[in-house]
Amino acid sequence: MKRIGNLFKKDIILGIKDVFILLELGFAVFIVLLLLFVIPENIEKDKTAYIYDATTLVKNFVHSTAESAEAQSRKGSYYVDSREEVIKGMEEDELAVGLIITEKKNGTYRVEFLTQPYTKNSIVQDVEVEMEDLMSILKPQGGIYPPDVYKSVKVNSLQQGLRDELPFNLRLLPTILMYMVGILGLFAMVSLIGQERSDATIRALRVSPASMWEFLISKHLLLLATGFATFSILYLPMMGFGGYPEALLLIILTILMGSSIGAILGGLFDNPIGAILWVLLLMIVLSLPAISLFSPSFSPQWLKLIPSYHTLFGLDAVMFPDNNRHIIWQGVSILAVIDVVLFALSGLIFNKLIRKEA
Amino acid sequence: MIEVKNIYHSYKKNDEYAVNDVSFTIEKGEIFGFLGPSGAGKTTTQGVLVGLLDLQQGDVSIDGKPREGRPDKAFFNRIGVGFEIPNVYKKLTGLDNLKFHAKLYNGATEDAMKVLEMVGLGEEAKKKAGDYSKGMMQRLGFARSMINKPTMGMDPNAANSIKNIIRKKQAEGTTIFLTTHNMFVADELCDRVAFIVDGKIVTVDTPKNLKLKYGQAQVTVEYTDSGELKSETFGMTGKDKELLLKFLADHDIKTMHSGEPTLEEIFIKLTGRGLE
Repeated sequence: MKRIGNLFKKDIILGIKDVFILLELGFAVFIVLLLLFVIPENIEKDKTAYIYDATTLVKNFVHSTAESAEAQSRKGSYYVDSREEVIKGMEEDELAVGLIITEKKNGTYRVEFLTQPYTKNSIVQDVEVEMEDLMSILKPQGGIYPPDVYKSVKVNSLQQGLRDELPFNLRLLPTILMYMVGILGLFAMVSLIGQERSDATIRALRVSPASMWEFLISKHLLLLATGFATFSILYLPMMGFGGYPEALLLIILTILMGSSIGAILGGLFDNPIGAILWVLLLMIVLSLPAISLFSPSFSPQWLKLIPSYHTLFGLDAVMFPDNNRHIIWQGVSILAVIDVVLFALSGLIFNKLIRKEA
Repeated sequence: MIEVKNIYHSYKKNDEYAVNDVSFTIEKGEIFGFLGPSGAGKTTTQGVLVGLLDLQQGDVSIDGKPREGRPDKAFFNRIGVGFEIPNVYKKLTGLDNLKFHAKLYNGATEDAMKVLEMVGLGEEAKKKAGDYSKGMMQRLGFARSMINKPTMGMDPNAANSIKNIIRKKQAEGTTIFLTTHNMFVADELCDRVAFIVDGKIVTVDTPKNLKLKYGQAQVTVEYTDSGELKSETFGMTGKDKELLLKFLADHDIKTMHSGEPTLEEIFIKLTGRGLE
């Protein structure tokens, strides 16, 4: 323990003098300030729809079903008086869509949905179906429905739900924590070992009573300590102490996973440049689960085989409780098992690899 | 005492040996020089001896205790290794470098400041090692190799020559294994030297014996010829001696210097290779 303490002290001093620790902490402060004061809580941009409703059917329907005056003057919907005005409005606002409703001579309705050139076909088709449904409600073939039916109609986007109500800056936090703190261990361990190997200071340690296990444990401790401080800087101002212990546990386990993989790469390559391709590749793989977090429709089973999946979804469950605590403990258990295996394996592999070097 | 018998080492674990059937014995308190050009097998042999590399084949025993597997902590507590490369923590001061290493050892260690003074770095102790010259960093590395072995009765101010320190260590009974390609240092310090080339030991003997056995005493004469200063070297025995005497009689001699062959010349003669 005395030796590990001595190695740890040395690593902390070198970490501070190499600016690695200060840079990490400084960057964390910068990111948290961005999250708090620059990145908005709500990034939903109001979409404008220019509507030319020659029949007044839709206009009246919206007015009659809207529950409040505020809803009636809903932002983003502009009723105009001609097709030309719809097009002009769309030319001025590239995000706007247009809707033209006219009545045919035979008493049926013609609905034109105008989109911008880059609009996806799937969205156009989606709107077509929605409009068809809406028009069949407004003008059913068998006559009109009683007024109560219209009042009970509520139009909701399928994509809308609880998640959209979460502040955007908070939704970014799990991914930022995983990148800046969790995966930090991988890159930093490769760099720290590479530095000792290229300076050959590791050789001086190898002919001292300090073992390579002690050498690695000290590095793991340095990364855990730095990760702990970085995590606290990022988490506490955003979330307070709510879920802090669980989130910290997940992050610690993720750092240890990354630093263990880093130890193997550090043994395989005698300088960090040689390992950089592997580091980047692994970082890309470890970041794949973030896609699933932001786009839940992308959730193939194999994604769960990537350890960072459990970090991300565990952190998400900690930060946004929704009867999902089992995800936290499931993540903790899986990461703990991975850590035990990787830690032991990385130590053995590193010891074996380093003994090939005189 | 260090005994090395028939050691082999291959980095690729095939029949390409960096060290090939190397054997030698170093007596307690002896300074043993291991001399050879780059890539000859010096570092590999040293690596096996100090436990940096696995002992793949052969036997190594220290003080009669055979090496089995990897050396234990007790072994590393007894040895000190200095390296040719200046492998110190450049962001730490010289003093902090030594204090850090001292704490890795069990038992009493030398006072870090005293060791720095011994190697002539007392005044630079609190400077970052990265600001040292290469030579100063090497001295710091040498100081580190002594940190676990208190040096008895040495006046730090009088000992700031590395050679003096090595001699003092020898006098205390420390066994010293010195790998170098600097023949002058080896000649001056070593009780015995081994020449190693391509992983194999060519010869082991004292520098004196090697010179007597393989060298020839020489005389270098400087003379003027048409107003120009020239020099000529002659052997001191047999026909060379006659030629020298005739040359002295026939020329306007300015200076004469006798000398014995250098260890490097013996090395070249025995191995057909230079040391660089």
